[in-house]
Amino acid sequence: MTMRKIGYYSAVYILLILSFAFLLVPIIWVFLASLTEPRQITSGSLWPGLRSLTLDSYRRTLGSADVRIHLRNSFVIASMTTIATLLIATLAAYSTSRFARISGASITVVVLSQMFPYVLLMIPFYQLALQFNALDSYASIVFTHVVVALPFSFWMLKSYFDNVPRDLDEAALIDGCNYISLLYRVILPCAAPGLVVVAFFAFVSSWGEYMFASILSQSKQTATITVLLQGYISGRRIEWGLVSASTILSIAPTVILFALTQRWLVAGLMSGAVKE
Amino acid sequence: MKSGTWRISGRETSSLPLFNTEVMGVAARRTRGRRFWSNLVNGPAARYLFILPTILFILIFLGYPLVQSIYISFTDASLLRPDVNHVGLKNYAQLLSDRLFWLSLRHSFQLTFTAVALQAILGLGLAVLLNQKVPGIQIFRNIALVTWVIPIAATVVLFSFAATPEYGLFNVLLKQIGLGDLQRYWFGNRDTAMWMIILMHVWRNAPFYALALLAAMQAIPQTLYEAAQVDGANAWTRFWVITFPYIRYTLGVMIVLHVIFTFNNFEFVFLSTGGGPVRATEVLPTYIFEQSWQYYRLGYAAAIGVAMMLILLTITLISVRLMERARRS
Repeated sequence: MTMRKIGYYSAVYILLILSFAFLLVPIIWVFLASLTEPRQITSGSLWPGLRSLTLDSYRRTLGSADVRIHLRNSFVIASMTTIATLLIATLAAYSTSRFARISGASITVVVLSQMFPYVLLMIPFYQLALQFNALDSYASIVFTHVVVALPFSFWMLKSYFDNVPRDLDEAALIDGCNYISLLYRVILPCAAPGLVVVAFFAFVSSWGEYMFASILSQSKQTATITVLLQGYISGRRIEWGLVSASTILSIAPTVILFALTQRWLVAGLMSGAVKE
Repeated sequence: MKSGTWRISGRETSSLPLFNTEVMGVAARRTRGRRFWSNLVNGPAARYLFILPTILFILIFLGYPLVQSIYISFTDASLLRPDVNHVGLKNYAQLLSDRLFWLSLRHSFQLTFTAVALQAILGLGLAVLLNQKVPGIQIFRNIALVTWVIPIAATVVLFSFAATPEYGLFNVLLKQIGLGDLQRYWFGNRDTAMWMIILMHVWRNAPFYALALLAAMQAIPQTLYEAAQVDGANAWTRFWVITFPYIRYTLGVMIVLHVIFTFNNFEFVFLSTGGGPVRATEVLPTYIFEQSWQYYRLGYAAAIGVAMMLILLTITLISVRLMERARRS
């Protein structure tokens, strides 16, 4: 190996380490805090020392019924959002990809929907929930989360469906498929990675959503983990042991899902985001 | 469409009477109910039936609130009084003389411009870095998006913790390198609070730019680089002559998407500073929130929102035009 090559490799690795330190250290720092004795967290040292490592914060956090209920709420709401988004977006993407010639209009709607300041939607959604007596219900939160996830999900899925060759449709239709069996026998299996990506996107965006969840949930019966986190950090005296453990618990599912769907994710998100 | 011809996958054909129940198989003919169902899922109506849920969803949850917001921006609607009076352009006139509106607008612009510029530059740098062919690079590519997938509320906790005096990461590091005097609660200081919010935006989204740009870079034919190398072009020239023209469009799309995201984002500011200290980080979304949820002035809040949308629409249209022009040349 030449000197030049060694120089190149070490420059690349040093830059990589620096940039990933910037990205990962804030997470690692809180992760460490969640494993440290609460008294040690505030000591101001960079490394707490092996002896003060403990699972106490997690024991306390998971021992509290509050945290468990909020995590459960987040799981239920995010799962329901994922299923509903997948269902609605699949049908819409199928229709616009194959039959309805409204691609131009649909992209306009997608872009416009992103431009609408969502903070303005809080009052109409609140009033709507009030009218239907749906305040503090899973359904109202799920509806709003589907609204948030739907435009981008639809657009991503459509780009996957567009990539399934039309020849397959014609062959399937001649062989006796109808429009519904064409969808689930031919197009969905071909576009399966797209479904994974959209499911991930819908789950994560619902799991992390705060604004609508905070106004539509009136009690801990429906409040999500993000609402709980907000409650924890807006207090006067912040218990960092509890906060860091519940923050890590709120991050963990997204990171685990991310690791599982990684293989399809990057290509999928990019095709949805970048496609004209 | 002429009768007797069918449009299948965009092509007109008369040879495939697919929607004729005679060739639909025995099952469809068995009962009238079945035939109705079969017509529904096979007939032309089905094509539009599929998109109906989405259209309804968007009309009810986005279209209706949009129209309603525009409408009430011309009224004095308030949650405190049941009666609603038309006031014409009064809300918009008030907007022009509202010092806080202009302050929030300026902050929104500062935040959006700075955050997006930093994201674009750092994202581009990270993309170039991730495009290097060194052993183990795939691991870095795989984990880069992690900042984007975690909840924004969690990101705010991470940075609030890091900014805490005495034992937060930033302050501990400052002390370690002998700059202990600079220690402070970085979100609670008028000069640094906005930079913290910019930092969170950059931290979360720069990797997203990087991966989009990386995907675009990997689509560039390698032969171009080989030819350039033969011609003696150095890495810097190769980047600007070959790489950049290929990824320019992706970069443009990323910038437009993130201008929209940053300008409209409510959660980062609301959860970290709430617009403070002393309105140093007040942006339009938090100002709308304050007007509607603290003063219940729905009409005025809607007027701010409509103004925001018009601003974004203008910016987006101009950038799309510019991108189209750049692409054609």
